[in-house]
Amino acid sequence: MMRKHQFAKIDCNCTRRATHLKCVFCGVMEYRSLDEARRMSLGQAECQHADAPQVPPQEKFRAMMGGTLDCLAPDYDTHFKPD
Amino acid sequence: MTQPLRVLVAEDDAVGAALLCGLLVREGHVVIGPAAMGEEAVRLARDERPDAVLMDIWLAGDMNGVEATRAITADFDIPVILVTGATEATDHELMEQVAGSGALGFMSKPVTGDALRMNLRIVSHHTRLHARLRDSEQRYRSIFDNAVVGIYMADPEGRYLVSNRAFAEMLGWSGPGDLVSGVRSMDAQIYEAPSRRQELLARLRAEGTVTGFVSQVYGRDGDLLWVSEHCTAVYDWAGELRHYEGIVIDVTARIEAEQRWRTTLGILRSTIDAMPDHVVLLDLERNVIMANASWVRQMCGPGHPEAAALADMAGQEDGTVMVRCPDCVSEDGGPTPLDRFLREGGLQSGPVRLLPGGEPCVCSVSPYRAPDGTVIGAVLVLRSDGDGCLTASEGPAVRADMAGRRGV
Ligand SMILES: [Zn+2]
Ligand SMILES: [Zn+2]
Repeated sequence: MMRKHQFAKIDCNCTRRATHLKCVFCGVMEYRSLDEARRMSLGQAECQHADAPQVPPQEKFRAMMGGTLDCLAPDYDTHFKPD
Repeated sequence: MTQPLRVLVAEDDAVGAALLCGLLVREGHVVIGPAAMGEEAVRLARDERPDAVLMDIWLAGDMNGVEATRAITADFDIPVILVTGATEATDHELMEQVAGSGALGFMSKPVTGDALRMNLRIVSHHTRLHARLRDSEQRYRSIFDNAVVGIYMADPEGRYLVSNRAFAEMLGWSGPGDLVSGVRSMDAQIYEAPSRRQELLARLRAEGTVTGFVSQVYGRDGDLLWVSEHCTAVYDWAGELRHYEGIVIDVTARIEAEQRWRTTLGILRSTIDAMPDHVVLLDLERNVIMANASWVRQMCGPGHPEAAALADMAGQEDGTVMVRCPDCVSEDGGPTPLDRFLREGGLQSGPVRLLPGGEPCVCSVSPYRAPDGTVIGAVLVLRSDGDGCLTASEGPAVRADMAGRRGV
């Protein structure tokens, strides 16, 4: 069963101007926009962390037929904010 | 030190003129004139375009200094400083005229170097400010005029106040002026739905900004088109909505493509629903990706253990059903056609009995491929004898019926 990243916004001091997203589970960083995180390919979306959510069979099937996977965490805006 | 200016001097008194010119030259400025008559001052302003004009109130000829000032500021937008004698400064009626002439500054005779320096500094500042304003105005004007999106400003009563060219042309009007004067009521002439504009206003009053507001609107020639509006409210000092600004995109092609796509999808849906066979698309883990109405009816038959779960999912817009493949056993007790397909691939078929109940069927399984050619699933068809055919209109009804049977 495939699992997918759940990205949330994170502050970063470097000079890259793209949005910084970090997977809530495995911690991988991606320089992508929110919209890109909502539409990831199968290869980009896969997360190896055991606690990451499973991809529903229908969503995976759609992705194989040219669709995309939504990898934005539900609390993407606030997850990494100190509150 | 003020930057050097080209200054036109208008003074009919030779001594006064020489005095002014001397002061200007000493400060490093360039003198144009002097002009002794109002008409001559206006002509020189037109031909020479000085940076500033020093104008005596009383001039020779028919045109006095106040009238010449009015002409020069209005026609050429050149700053004028009026110069007057001490006695005239106490003439209230004359001072009223001076105030209304458009002059930027005012000096009384005798003109001192300090007064001149101060006034010319004001002129320089004014000129720079003006140039900046004109510049940014032109930039915004150009963005507004050349935008490919429609831009407008409208009042809450349903009239357009301003429009750019793109918006007027989008709606089939010959130009912005034509649109603004031609549309007397958006309710009658623009929006297809009578209450659409009121909905937009209500949301603007509540939220301040409305994005992606998609409506059907009439063009000038009566054609209906789809537009998406992004609007921002502008309030007056009392917090009342005074007018609003809109950015408009023509989304007719997109909406029509979506409608064609939905129709095509509907035809495909009805086609597989019209089949008497149970048709189901599975992934390689036997998960149901899509199923036809006959299959949903079969699986949700009375007493079926998964009926409740199936009914929940059957109502989904795309028809995906979150259950596993139907359980069946082969007639000879060996692997089913699906088992054989998952092991060997290819086309597989054979007699099976559906569980529970043991209804006899012929099951055929064919590979389902992704666009790149890899097999990612299977289409499974179960044909049973004596099963009636669902009509196209029955399909959605069956599915809706299933969705309604939650908690069976
Ligand atoms: Zn991850
Ligand atoms: Zn960074």
